[in-house]
Amino acid sequence: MRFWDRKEKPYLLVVFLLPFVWMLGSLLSGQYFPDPGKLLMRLSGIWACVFMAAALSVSPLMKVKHLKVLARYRRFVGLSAFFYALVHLLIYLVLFAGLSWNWIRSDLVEKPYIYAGVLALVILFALAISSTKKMMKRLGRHWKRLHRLVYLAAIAIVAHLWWQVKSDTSLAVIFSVVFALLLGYRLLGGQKRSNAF
Amino acid sequence: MLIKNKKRSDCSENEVTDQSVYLNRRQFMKVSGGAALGLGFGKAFAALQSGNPLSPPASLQDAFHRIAETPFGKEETPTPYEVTTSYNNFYEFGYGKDDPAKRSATLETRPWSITVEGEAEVTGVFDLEDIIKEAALEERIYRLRCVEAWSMVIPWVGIPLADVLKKFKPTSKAKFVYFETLYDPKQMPEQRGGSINWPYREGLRIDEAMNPLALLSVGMYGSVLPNQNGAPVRLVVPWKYGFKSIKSIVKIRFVEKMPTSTWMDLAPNEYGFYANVNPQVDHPRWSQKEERRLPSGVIFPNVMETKMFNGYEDEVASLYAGMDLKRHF
Repeated sequence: MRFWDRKEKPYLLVVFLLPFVWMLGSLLSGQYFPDPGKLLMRLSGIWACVFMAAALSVSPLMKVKHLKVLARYRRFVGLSAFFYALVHLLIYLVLFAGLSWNWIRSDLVEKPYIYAGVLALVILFALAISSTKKMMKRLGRHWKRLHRLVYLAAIAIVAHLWWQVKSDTSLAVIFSVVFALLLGYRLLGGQKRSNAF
Repeated sequence: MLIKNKKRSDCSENEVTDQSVYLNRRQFMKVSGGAALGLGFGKAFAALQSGNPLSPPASLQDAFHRIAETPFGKEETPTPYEVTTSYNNFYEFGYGKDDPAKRSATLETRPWSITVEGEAEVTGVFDLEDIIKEAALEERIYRLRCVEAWSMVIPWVGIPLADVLKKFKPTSKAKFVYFETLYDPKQMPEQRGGSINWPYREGLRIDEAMNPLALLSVGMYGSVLPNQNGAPVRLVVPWKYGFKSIKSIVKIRFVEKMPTSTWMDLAPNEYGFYANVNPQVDHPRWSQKEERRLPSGVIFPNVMETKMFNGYEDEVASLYAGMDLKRHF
């Protein structure tokens, strides 16, 4: 079996990695100087939300006749959401908190919104490792049930955003609306449950 | 001869990063990172050691030539000028950290007058240059701790606030001092709208204002203040979070009742009147126990423990004796 099931996928990978490469390049060229942690935490979080929204948009878009091809890339988009969420966590740990255990511990004790973010990341991790064809076969009908947890992850992300709003609510509002539309669409189309993904 | 009494707030020798180590580390990162990625570090590490390029107006040349040295912060390594002038919270010019540097050229700092009113014998409109000429400027190197958990070290030039305030002879009714920033949307574009009730307002209790640490700053790094740092005159109260150190002041009012500051107005559950640096009292949404001393390295920030009253406990703790600082945050 070849590693890439479709020959365009390596190119797609490059496209999905562009925000990451751009952030890394800007970081190393000093664009985020003198306090890169603060800015990059926000940027990586935004990209995780964007890919999450994209992953949840695939199945509604598949209803459109010519967009059925998108089904081939859904796993790819979902894995990207996990990747950016992981980058977001690493930026918090290293660039923001400087791996200072004191800093991280007091955040864990007093900032409950971190757990909402961690919950979303744990779910995305579980979905990522169970996303291979092999795992799909092995899990059978449980696979679909497991992957419905993606909705819980979306809700956790919205909580993570609202819980920490300072004075600017724009990001929280935008992604709440997007996720509410995507989740609402599925609730309303509930009679055709089997297609709800 | 200068006899230096060591205060508890002074950093001990081993806490301060040696300048050569500091520079070597930068050099090392520049070489290794640059070689690995073939990228220049550009603005990040170019010319970090240069001083203030601004020159004071002719009328103030004399005052700025005679800046008295003080022992404050002599053991600290000042944050590079490029960093303290490119990373600012000055919402009148935008919410981004680089907005003030980019958008504050519209601020007209000369002539500049300050209106003094309220519970004092001497009130009226005073020209800033007269206030500066009458006083002796001194340099004080202070730590600045932002409520957002980053910090810098800045060599300010200014006049002890008490010296200035005493000239106005506050009466016994003057329990607090209220300060106001300029309100002029033509000069400060962000004042045209937004969620903040302009002008920016701050206040101190009269004994806080009279504390020898409180400084009315008119310069930094040996010359005048750049616009983005609150030109031409700002407050510096180093034991409080940065937002208390109000910029571009046009009004000083002596009052009997505790004034409401802009941030108390915006989020009373998050920002109190005192806003003393206090690692025991976290911000509702983040920890205040540690801070990132800027500039951060390429990957790792320079994290250090936040000290009570930003390390100025010896000087100011007595102001708050018997107060519950968890309640009066």
